[in-house]
Amino acid sequence: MTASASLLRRLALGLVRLAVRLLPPGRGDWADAMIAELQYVDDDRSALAWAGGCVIAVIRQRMRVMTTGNWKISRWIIAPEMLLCFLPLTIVWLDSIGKVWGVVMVAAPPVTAPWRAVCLVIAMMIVATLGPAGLIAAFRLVALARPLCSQPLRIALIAGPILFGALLITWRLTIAGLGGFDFWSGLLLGCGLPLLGAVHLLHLSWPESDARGKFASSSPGA
Amino acid sequence: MIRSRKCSVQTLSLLDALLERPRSWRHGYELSKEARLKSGTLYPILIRLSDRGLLDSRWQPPEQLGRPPRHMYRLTASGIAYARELRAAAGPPRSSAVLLGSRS
Repeated sequence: MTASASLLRRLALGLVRLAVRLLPPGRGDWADAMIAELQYVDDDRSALAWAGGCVIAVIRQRMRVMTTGNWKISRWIIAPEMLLCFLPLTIVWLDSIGKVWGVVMVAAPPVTAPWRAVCLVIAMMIVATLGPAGLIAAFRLVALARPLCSQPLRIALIAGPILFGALLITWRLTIAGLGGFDFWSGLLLGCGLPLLGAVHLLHLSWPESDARGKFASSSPGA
Repeated sequence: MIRSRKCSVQTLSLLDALLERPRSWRHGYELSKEARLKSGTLYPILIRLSDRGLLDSRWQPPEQLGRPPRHMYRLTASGIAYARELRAAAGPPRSSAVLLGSRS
């Protein structure tokens, strides 16, 4: 075995060992199988190709788990994602009820049509309640493994950020002189991220079909 | 109960390879060569078949010192029945190369 060849073999092995970490829990046997089989592949180039295939297989498995919506996604991935998605809206909500941080006041633009602005701000406060609602739903999902079952809340979590985005756009189009208000940051933090979080939350809460549940729970034969 | 759903050419090719010697334990590399499947296609199919109870797997101790144990596979009784049923529905077996070539 040449030095470059053994390097290829080591590279292939390293690649597979790294990739199998992405496999969902309960797939340990398959991870070991891929690593072991690699060491029986004839030549180093084929081993590298085999390793590349294993990486693809692992990614496909990970994606399959994510699309089947079971609870095998790491909580350490969901938790920060949900925080990122719903925390900004929660801060806006907290600020709107108690001026905790003063973020809303800082962001509030100088308005030329007060009545319209007041309506919009009140509407935004109502929509911003979806921030803590989303956080609570996410906490139930992550910590207690309870899916989001409430249909009104599901609708609100999707419709809320869309409404929020529509309000921001309306604000920008109808009220002149937004001052220091950053429209794009508002759109991202108040609409984009909560919508992303809500879609993911709903996706993870989607009931599995009997067949999927049965197949997911059955273990490989001995 | 096994769901009857459309089977991919690759799955059919793998089932054909497994059906050739249904009672023998086979390892992944051998199956990939026989079915002409890359590992990126082979393992997802193996995992799926195993999840559906159509494939048995076990670890074989290494024959040479310093080698790792190998994961071996064979069809279960329901897997054999399923493969035969699919094969009967798909017509006489063709070589994997022809099967895979016919997709494009």
